[in-house]
Amino acid sequence: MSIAPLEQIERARPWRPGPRLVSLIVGGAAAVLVLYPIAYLIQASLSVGDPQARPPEAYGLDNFAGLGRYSHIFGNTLLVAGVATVLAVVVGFAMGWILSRTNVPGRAAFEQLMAMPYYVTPLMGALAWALIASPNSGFVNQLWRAVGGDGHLIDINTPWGIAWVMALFEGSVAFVMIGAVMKSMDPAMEEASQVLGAGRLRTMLRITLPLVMPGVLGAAVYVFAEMLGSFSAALVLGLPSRFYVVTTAMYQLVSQYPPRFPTAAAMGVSLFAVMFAMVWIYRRIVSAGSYVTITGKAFRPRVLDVGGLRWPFLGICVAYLTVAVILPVLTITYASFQHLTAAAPSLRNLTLDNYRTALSLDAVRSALWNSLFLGVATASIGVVLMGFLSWLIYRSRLPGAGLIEYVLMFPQAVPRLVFAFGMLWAWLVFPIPIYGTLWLLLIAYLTVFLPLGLRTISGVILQIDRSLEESAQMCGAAWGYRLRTVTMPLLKPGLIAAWLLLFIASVRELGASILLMGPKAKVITPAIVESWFSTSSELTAAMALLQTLAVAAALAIMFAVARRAVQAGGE
Amino acid sequence: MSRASIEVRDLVVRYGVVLAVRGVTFSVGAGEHLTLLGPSGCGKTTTLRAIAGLERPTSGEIRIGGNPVFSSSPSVNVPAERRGLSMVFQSYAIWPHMSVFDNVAYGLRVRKRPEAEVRTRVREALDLVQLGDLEERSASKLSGGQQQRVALARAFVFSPSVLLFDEPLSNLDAKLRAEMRVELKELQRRLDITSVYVTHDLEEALAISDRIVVMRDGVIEQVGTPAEIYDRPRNTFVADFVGSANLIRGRRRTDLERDGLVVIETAGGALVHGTAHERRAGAEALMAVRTVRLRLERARPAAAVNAWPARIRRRVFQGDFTQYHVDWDGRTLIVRSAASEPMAEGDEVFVSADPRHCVLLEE
Repeated sequence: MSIAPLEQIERARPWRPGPRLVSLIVGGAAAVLVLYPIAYLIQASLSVGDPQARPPEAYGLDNFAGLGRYSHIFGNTLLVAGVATVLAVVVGFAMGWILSRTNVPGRAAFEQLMAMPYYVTPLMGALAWALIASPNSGFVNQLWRAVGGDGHLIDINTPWGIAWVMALFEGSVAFVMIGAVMKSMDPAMEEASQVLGAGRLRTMLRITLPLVMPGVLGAAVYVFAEMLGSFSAALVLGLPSRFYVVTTAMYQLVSQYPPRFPTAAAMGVSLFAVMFAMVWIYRRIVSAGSYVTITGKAFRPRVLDVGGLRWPFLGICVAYLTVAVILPVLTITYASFQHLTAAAPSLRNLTLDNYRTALSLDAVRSALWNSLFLGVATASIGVVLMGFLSWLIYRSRLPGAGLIEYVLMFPQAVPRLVFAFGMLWAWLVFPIPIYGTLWLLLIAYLTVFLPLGLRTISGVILQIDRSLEESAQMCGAAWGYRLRTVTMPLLKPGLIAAWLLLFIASVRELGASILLMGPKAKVITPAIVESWFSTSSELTAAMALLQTLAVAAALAIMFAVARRAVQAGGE
Repeated sequence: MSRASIEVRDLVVRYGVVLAVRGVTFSVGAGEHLTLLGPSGCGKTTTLRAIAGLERPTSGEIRIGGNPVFSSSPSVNVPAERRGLSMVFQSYAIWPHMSVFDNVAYGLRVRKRPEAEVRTRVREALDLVQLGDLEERSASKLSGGQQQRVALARAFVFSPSVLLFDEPLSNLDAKLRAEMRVELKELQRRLDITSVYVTHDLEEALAISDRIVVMRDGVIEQVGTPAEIYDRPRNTFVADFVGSANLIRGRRRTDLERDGLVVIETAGGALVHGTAHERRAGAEALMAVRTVRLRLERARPAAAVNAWPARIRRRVFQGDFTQYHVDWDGRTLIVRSAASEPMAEGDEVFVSADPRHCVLLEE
């Protein structure tokens, strides 16, 4: 053997912070980021003295006792969330079954398109459906009166309307969750039933349904929890008819004069408690009933030949995408080019004025720039922070990693508006004056999107075999070197996906931004909502479309850069 | 080539409440090839990972080249990357985002070797594992056997003082495994390096080791050369795990013992002469005889002892050998025979064994 011996790697080296210390500091800081606002939220809910006083003068449970007066609001919330959940799960189940188990034409394409409602967002959906179906000026009702009808045909400013818009959006979430369960089922289980002599229907009822049931139930609980905390559709569609759910009522209590912080805080804590319970139930269902998904194997799902039913099924898919995506986008686009929204198109009514106004208004321009800047900053800082935290939780084997995970996933169970409320209190008393600046929004985004980033990145981390890192260690690489040469490059696809998701989520954030943005540091989504209530719907439509285009453009650039980066990475 | 000895003393590894390794002591001489052999869950991989520094032991001491790399008192724990070892993983752990060349060069680049030296040494290593023409290939586009070779080259290219193998051949198909076994042995000898090898495969252990440590439930059952382990298993576990053996129980007949042999009488009255290998036995004793060490003959053999009449009950043809289930002394003996002329089921035969191959077991 001609290889000469290498000298021993140097034993004495300058002191560097070990992984343990850095992990503790970063993990601890992230935990503080989450717990600090929650502590203030709880403190505020217990304040029974002067509602404006900080810190509270006296503590008690009066605020919670006083919530009885708002029982109708809790009833509204349950009604809207319940109806929307049933609708969304029906949509998700039907689409999931059609797209993963039947031979409907264009399955693969539809499966991709099912992500679209997520990009449309409930706010866009709510604005569009308000244009389509508000009682006075909605297109449908305009047409109804034009053909001689009286009053209005449909009214979107009702609990049903709000539930409808929320269900359209959450339907795609339910679809993703239920579709995954249906796909992860071993077709041999159904085949075994048929071999043993059971017919199709019997197999469906006795084998297929029981197997997917935990997944469906889990999706229902998850969607319901999300609906309880949802804000934008209820705000846009409920405010005109003074129909409040918990989140919009909280917003109202905080933004009215004088604000009633303790009551709002008590409402927030109650909602938080309910959602926390829902998330807990969801986890129990998922872990107890996971006998379908537990193998983790990818099966080729058995495709059912449904014969002539293919076409009605295709119709269902097209119909869903139409009401959830195509119709809203067309409506917003159409309205943005009009002087005065009218159902019947006419050449004289066409204009570019709305765009001219939107782009010339300083407020709109700066809000758009602020949002894009915050999006890039949140995504970039977030990917590094959350990438490290994922590694810390799932790989470092530090004592307490499980606890850190638990704390960091907290924001998932707290509506962003409620969380922002805690931050409002927390950062007002913070010695460094960041309240009312973009910095506060940046911190808020990084906090509320922790679960989103962690889930995306940890999904990839868990797929990377631990021995890939260990072998680098055995080659003599210290932890920083390993992280840079092995862990990070392997995580790249996951990190890029996380960056994009964080960027999109930040630019469109409403619940936290609407409470935390200052008059001199506005961001675009709350500006759109303000414009909806204080200026014209045509201008608002133009702003919403501009926001969507800006996101699309930023994504296109990012995709191009990312593709080059991946290619350069030695494919 | 630098070679280092390894000493493991009173090693204990605990995962929560589970004791994976419970007080293991052994040493590996400089340049020796030692194998840790045992069924899954016996603590062999945990022991290897503790030597590597990937697992933190609960107590005990590990020395490499005389220097403690782990000790519970005084507290020493040198991180894996500074122990100067290298390791081949069961999953190969080839980095898919790098080329074959970059994978192999990793350990040299960590050590900041000049790029010219990196190139020559990677080439030499790849030639040694017969992958010289693949260095620019992306590592994600390799077959299992090729990944295995890359993992090998990557592990030895930077001249570690010890090479650790964690079941490196278990993911290959049977034919490739047999080939790699020979190649691995060849490579070990050429590199002249200390190695610790973990496997549950007996043939692998017998083929490539200087010495074998048989483990069960976190403790060592027997240490010895492959021949010792195979021919002189210490107890029923080793006899059973290391190849197939017939176990024969009986009452001691000290009155018949001479020439250093041990004699037992079975329940059916058969007298079995065996070897004690300095093991002590009480009034009751157990012997093991390997299935391949039993002979079947049609006529009574000339040997004075250990020849008994028997009857073939079942014959199972297995290719390289034929396995006979033989009725003997009111029970069944398993005999594996490579003889070309087969016995038929129902044949009356004589079964015999050399007393050297009937081994007294500890209980």
